[in-house]
Amino acid sequence: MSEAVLLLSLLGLFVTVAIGYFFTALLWPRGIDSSLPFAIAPAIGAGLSSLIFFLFRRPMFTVEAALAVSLGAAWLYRRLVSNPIKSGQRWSMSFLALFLAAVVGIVFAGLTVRVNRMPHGYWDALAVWNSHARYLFRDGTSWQEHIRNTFHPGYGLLVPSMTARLWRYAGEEFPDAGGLVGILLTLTSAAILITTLWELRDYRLAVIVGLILLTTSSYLEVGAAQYADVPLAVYFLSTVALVYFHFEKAPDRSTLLLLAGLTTGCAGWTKNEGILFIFVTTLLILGTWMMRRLSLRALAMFLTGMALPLMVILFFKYVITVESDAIFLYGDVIGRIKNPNRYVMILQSTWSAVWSFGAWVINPMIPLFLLVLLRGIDRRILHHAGWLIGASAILLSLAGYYAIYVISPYDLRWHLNSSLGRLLLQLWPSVLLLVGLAARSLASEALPLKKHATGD
Amino acid sequence: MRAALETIIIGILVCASIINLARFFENTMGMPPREAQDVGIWENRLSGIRGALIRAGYGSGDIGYMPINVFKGSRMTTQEDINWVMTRYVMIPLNVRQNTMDVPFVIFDYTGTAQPEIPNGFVTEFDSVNGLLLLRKVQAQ
Repeated sequence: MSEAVLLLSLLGLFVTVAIGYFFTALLWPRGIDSSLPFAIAPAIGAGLSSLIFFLFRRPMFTVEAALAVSLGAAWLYRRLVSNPIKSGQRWSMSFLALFLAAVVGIVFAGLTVRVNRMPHGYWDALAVWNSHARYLFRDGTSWQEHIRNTFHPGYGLLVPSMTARLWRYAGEEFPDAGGLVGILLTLTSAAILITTLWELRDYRLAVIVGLILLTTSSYLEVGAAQYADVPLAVYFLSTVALVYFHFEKAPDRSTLLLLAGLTTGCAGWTKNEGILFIFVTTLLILGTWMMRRLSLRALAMFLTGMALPLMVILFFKYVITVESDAIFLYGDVIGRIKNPNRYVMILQSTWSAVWSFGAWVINPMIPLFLLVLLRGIDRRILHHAGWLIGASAILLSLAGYYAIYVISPYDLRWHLNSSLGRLLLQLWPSVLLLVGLAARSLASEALPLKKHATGD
Repeated sequence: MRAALETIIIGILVCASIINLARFFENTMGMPPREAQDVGIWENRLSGIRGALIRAGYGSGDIGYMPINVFKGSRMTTQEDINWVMTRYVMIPLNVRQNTMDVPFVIFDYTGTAQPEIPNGFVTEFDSVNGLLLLRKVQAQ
C-alpha cells in the first residue's frame, strides 16, 4: 500500500467519522452532557456511508460531501446558539486510566500487524465479504446481477460497501481496506462500552469492563479478520447503549431512539443475525409502548430511524439478489425439531463455548461477576425499561440462534464448531455492558453515606 | 474490607488482561508474513491470465476452472476445491465455474505435473508458465 493510498483511505474513514459525529451530535438531546456521540460516531457514520454508497454509487463523493458540509454547518450553528455537548467525564491520571491508554495503543498495534500479515482477511472474508466488495467496485452497474454468483449473495452489504468505498477514495483496490474498517469498528466497540459505563456508572468499572473486551483475544482476531461479526457486535452494543441512555437520561425526548432505530437497522444490513435482532428489538420496543412506558412519538422515532436501512435490506434481498433465506427449512425439519439429541448437543456446546469463546488464558468472567456481586446489584435495573429491553434483546437473539441450530440442515457438530464462537462474540460487548450496568456505581454507594452524614 | 476486596479483584482482572493480551500478541507475531498468504500468491499467479482475458475483451461472463486430476477423471481434492474458491475471488467479476470445460475460456491447472497436451477443441490463449494455462474454446467449423 502506497502512502497516497493510505492517506486517501484514512481520509475516507475521517469523512465517515465526521458524518457520524455531526449526525449523532445534532440528534443528541440538548442539555445532556456526554461523550457517547464521539464514541458512537464511527458506527453511525459507517451505517450512513454504506447506505449512501448503496443508494448513490457514482455521485457518492458529492452526496457525502454535501451531507458532511450541511451536517457540519448545522452542528456549528447549534454550538454557537446553545451550549455544546460536554462530557460529564473527568479524565484523571489514575493508574487504571494510564493502563487502559497503554492497552488501547498495544491493541491498535496488534490489530495493524494482523491486517498487514493477512491483508485479504481470513477465509470467510475472501469467500464472502471481500468477494462482494470486489463486485461492488469492479463490476459497474452489472454487480446487481453478477453478485448472485458469490457465496451467500444475500448477506448484507454494510461491510463490503465500506471496503469498496475506501477503494473509491483511494482510487484503487488494496486488500487491507477491510482490515482498516475492522480496526476502526473494533476500537469503536471498546469506546462505546467504556464511555457508557463511565457516564452511567463509574470510571473504575468502565475501565475494567473495557479492558476485558480489549483483551478478549478472539474478539480482536475476528475484528482484524475482515469478518462482519465485530461490526455486527458494534451495532448490537450501540442499540443497547442508546436505548438505555434514552430511558436513563432523556425519556421525554425521542431522538436517541431514532439513533437506536438506525443502529438496529444497520445490524440487519451487516449480517443475517442482525435481521433477527431487528425483529426482537422492534417487538420489545412495541411491547414497551403497549405497556405505556414509551410514548407514541418515541416509538415512531425508533421506526423512523430503522426505516431507511430496513427498506434497503428488503430491496437488496428481494429485488436484487432474490436469495432464499429458507435454507434452514430444507429437508426433514420436523424430524430435526423432534430429535432431543440435537437440543442436548447444542446446550453442551454452548456451555463449553461460553467458557472458551474468548480464547483467553485466564477467563475474566468469574472475577467480573465477583466484582459486580461485591458492588451489589443495582436493583433499579429490574424496573429499568432500557436495561430490560437490552437484556431481553440479547437473550431473545440467543434463543433465536438456538432455534436456528435446532432446525439447521447442516451437520450439527460442524455447524456448531464453525459458528458458535463467533455468535457469542457478536453478543459479548452488549453482555459486558449489561453486566456493568447491573452493578451499583461508586457514586450511588457514596450518596446514602452523604445523606446519612448530613442527617437527611 | 469491601474496598480492599474490590482492589484485589481489580488487580486480578488487570493481571488477567495483561496475560490475555500477551497471548493475543504471541498469536499475532506468530502469523506468517504478508507475502505468504495463499490468496495473495494465487492472485500473483493469475495476474497474467486476468490480463489476457481483458485483452481478449472478455470482462464478464463464465469461465471454467479445471484441475488436471479432475480432467483425467480423479475425484476433486480439498486443495483443488480451495484453489477454485481463491480463483473465484481473484477473477471477479468473471464467474468461475468449477470443473467444467463447457465455457468459452478455461483456467487449466496442471500444478505439480508436466505441461499436458491441450484438450481437443481448445487452444492456448495464455501460458502463465507457473502451472496455469488459459485455454480458449475453438468454434466448431
